[in-house]
Amino acid sequence: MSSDGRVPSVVSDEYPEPADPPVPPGAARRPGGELGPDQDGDLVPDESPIQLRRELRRRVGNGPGPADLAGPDTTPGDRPLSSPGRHARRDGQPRPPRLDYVPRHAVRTPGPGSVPVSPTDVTEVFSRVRQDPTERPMSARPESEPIRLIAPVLPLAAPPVPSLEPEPESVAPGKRERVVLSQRKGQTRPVRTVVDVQELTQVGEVLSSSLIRSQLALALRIGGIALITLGSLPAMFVIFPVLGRFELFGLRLPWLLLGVLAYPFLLALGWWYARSAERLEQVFADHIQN
Amino acid sequence: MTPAAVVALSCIAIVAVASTVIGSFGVRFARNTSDFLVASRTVGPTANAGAISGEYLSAASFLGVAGLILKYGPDALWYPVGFTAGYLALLLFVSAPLRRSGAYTVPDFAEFRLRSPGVQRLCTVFVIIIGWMYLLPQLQGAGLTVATVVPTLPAWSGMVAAGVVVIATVVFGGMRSITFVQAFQFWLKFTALALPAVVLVIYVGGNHQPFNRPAPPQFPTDSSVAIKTDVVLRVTQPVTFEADGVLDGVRTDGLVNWVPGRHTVLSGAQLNFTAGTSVPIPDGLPIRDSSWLTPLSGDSPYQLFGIYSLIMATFLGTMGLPHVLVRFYTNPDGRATRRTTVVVLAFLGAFYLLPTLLGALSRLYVPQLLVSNNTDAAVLLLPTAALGGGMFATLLAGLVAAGAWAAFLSTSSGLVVGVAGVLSTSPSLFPRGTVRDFRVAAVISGVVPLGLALVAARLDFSQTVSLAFAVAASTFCPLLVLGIWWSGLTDRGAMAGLLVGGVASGGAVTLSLFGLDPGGWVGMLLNRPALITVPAAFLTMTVVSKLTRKRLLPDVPRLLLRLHAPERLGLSQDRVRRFG
Repeated sequence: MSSDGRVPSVVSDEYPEPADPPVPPGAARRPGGELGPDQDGDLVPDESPIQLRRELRRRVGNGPGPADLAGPDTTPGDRPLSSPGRHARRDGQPRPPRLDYVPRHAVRTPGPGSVPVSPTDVTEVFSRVRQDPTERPMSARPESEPIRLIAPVLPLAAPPVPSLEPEPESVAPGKRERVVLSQRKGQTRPVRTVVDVQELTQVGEVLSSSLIRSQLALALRIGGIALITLGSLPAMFVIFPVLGRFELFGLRLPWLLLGVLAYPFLLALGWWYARSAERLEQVFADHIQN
Repeated sequence: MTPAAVVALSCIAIVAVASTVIGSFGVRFARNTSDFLVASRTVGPTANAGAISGEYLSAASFLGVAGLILKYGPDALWYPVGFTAGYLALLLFVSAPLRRSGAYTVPDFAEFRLRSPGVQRLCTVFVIIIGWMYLLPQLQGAGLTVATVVPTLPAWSGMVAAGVVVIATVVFGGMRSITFVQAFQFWLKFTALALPAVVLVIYVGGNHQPFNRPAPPQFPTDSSVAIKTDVVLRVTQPVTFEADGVLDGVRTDGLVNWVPGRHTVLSGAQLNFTAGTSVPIPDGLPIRDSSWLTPLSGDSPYQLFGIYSLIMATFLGTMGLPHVLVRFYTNPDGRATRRTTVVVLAFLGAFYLLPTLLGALSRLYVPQLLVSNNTDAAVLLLPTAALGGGMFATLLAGLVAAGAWAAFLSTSSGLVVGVAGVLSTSPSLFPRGTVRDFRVAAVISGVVPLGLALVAARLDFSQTVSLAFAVAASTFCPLLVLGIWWSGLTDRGAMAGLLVGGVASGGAVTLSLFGLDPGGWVGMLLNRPALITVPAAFLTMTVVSKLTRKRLLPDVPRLLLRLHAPERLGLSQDRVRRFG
């Protein structure tokens, strides 16, 4: 599993991200569904933690409110519609949008006709990430779901993870799990790792730099394959001139390799990369969210 | 004017008018949805990939690749392979993080990553240089197309017509919002090459003519060749032809008999060959068909260096082209960006099979272009040369001309929009950045390269384009790759690397564009500088960044995380709110 540098996956994308426009409403992705090549066999959920979580959720009764279920990507079958429970928000309203949410396009990357931006504006927007220490950090799923998932307790001083192996035990059945409920009045309890990553605490920095390193390793590996395969051809043609006269399927080898086969080769590498990079990202997101 | 010329000109006119009209409709559409960025984000990866490919496949791909294959054989195959592989590098190192940065031009990205107005301004300069350099062969290609299909019209008329249409389209329409126009133009270009290719393969399949002959190609029909630039021709067996002009330093008018060896012909000469005569080949190119079939068959001892330098420039240069990056911004998120790029790889791979095939066939049917060094016209002349002058061949030639025109229009519009967008949002030039400023900038960014196109030497299109690739690879590639993947990049480092790579590659390229070719090592370096300048730029950026480590921004890890974290974590903060 780690032979290609991937983080082992224990949790699947049970709730697909809201930002996924190519999936039409109603075609919500489920594990094992047939939408897109990213639904891998080995991303099918481990039954036990999911079961455990469902059970917990059922007992706690912390299902999402009806407003959340109206979101285009939810999978209603998975969530009970029962009472929101003791700790849920009393008013039953969905969280209002963050007041300080500023679409970056309001100020950055202006179109040809927009007002130019001074660098200070941008810095200001950027520094909005968290100025007030008591401010709630952004929800992991800002558009549709309140934070109500179960976070594994990560060791705070996680050892540096050079080979991208995260704590594989963190969601194993039987381990202690910390239940983080939906917002309580006057107090917030966001998902630990998301905050870690947002705040770039030690844990967060390790997690995010391991993501970047694994993506870079993947890109370099595939780029290296392309470069070595294609880049060795001119030298080979010089060193072994007979290759240039060799015929295959009625075509000279250089014409066949460069004129025809190079394109499916590049396409296959690109497809491989897009798939693997998506998987790395998915595992990273699942890992810090669950 | 011959009927063939009328057909071809009508096809060209239809394409030009259609693009302008659809472009102006597109603006109305964009205004209704109030924000063209959001509107375009409803476009799926396939349509988006069609648009990217449509904008990318320029005169260099449509005409130039086949012409270079006619000249150099398999060595020229590195151009289309490199043009395609550039998208793999873009996919691997740039696409998704750049999309997540929210920047849609390189200056934007520099400002996001380094917050340095100096680097941003320098990037603006290089965007303009690369954009203009890329526009040059597009406009020249328009001139060549018009002059080829209607021999009575001068080349500058085509250039001016293309320039005016492009500037008008951008000023009154703004092609950026119209993904579907670009996607349509991709399919038009594809059809315009695929149909002739299929017809020719069926035709050639019927009367097979071998490529592998130990002799130069022969004129398939009686051919008249006008020499426009001084040339040294080589013949390997005695050739007899009629000539009018200065040959081997002697004023000649009448029958000439050339013995094997090198012969000089000055510009202005007119050579008339009868069918079946061996074609004299310009010095430095493979002469016999059998050596043309094999790789690295030229005379130059530095050709291996040249090929590797070309690989470096095209593989790494694509990510720095202004019109390419802007297009990627219409993807909804990083993941869709990757998928779009994969589809682009498929589209480009399918497309480049066609110029490869047509280039090989043109060795059989239009070898006279080798003598006049006008091989870029091969695709345009091939249908009538191979199929005769019938109505069907005329229509095919018209279709090819229309496709070529679509190639200039889409690429040039994309480039003018890209350059004008960068110009008009640059605070030092247009402090207000209004729509009026954008239009002024569009006129500037179209007129200057038009002027250059009228005076600059005409190299082969693909070669001119690869010069632009070399500059992009020596400047923006290190900036993007190090900026995205290395937390240690500082503004000083970026500035120094951009200057070293840009001045070295830009200087070399300018000298070759103005026709300076001292030959030997120096000539090769001026023509293909990337193999030296790209590593130099990377090295400078790294070393200077390490020396100025104190200038590192405190929140670099957070910036990098935003580039790499998937959107669902909500860290990027650059989501435009969706409608509905």
